[in-house]
Amino acid sequence: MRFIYTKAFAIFAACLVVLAIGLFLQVKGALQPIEYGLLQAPRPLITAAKAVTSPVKSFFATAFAIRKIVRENADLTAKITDLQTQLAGADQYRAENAVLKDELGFAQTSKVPLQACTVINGSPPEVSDALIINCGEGNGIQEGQAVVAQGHLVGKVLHVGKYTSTALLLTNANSAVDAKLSKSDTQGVVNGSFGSGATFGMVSQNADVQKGDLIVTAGINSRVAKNLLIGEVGDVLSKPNDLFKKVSIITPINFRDISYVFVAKQ
Amino acid sequence: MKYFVYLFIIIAMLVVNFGILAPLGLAWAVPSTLLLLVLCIGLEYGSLDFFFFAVVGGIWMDLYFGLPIGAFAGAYIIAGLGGWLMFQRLLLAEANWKYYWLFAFIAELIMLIWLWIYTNALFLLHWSPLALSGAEIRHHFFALLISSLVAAFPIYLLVNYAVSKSRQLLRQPLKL
Repeated sequence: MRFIYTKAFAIFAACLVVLAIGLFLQVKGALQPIEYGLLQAPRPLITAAKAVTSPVKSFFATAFAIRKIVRENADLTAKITDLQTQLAGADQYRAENAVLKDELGFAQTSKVPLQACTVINGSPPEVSDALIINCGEGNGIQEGQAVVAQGHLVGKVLHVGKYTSTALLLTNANSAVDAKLSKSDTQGVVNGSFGSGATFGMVSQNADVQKGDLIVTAGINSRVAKNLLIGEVGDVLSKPNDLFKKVSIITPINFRDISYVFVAKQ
Repeated sequence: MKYFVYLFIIIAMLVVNFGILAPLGLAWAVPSTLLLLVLCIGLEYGSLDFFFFAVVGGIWMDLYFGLPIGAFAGAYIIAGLGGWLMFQRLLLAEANWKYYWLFAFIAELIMLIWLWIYTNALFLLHWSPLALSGAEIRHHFFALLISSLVAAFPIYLLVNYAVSKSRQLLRQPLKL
């Protein structure tokens, strides 16, 4: 029997008619209520099945992702370490920048020729209260020249090498710099006091020394420029019956944390 | 009564498709369970009831994916009819299961080609706002094919199980 005479063909044709009618109704928008009903009918069962399969999927997805997570964790840890290193470097640059800005302000106002130097070692083993700087003979540095940081005298050049020099800080007990009060020209000597700062001594008992008076270099030593700021007068340390008056010096310089200095090439 | 059982089977297939396989993240690799069901019934049992599964299940799929009616249903009818004709005309009655994979492969191919032609034709006629991209179908072709071939025999076993259970439940021989 030919196919077109079979029951199968009849059903097939009927199905095509049903689909054609369905398509027509769908195009015309007449199927919307039926569509909604058909879509909603299996939804409770699908939702229930999803409620079971979703945790299973999450479990296996997590299990498969663990290796990736471990790798990502290692990468992120390495990245954090790298960023922390960069951050530390940035902090250092920021601090250096602030110091250099201060130094630059002094360098622009100074009338004395200055040589900028970097502190290589802030506490050399052979000399206490001293600095090793990266300037030497080639930079025109000479022994006895004043070393300045942030606009304040911090010491004198003790020894000059070919490429480096050693500067003795004001706080060193062997340090002595001729100085005076800026307002009255009262002269004295600034000495170190065993790591606890510096004092302005050898001042006449009759001299008028007030707390807050500025102390500057006197310029008696030809290698040390005149009127370089040293600090201001602090407390009076001497007694009235002492031969000379002696006062402590207040300075904003932290002698243990000097990174950049200028050598005044007098 | 048997059509209620058929409806139940169709709904079960939809639940398997959209409730279990799709949420498992298989996406486009979800096997065409209804197509395999239609093919299995036409090929294994030589029953014309595959038309019911093809039309009802197909329309359901069309609506679910927002495609014009006939996109899936037409493909299922063609694939089912092909399987049924094979069963009738060729001497494969005793060995259909051996060729089942081959038929599943051909049916999947026919379905994808039909989906592309049908949706694009209706789109050109302005009867449908949606047309399946050929590039998209090509992109997912192997994933779909492999998933359907993997699912072919589990569906085959499921259909056999459902048929035997239906016979027991209804206490009367079904055409299946």
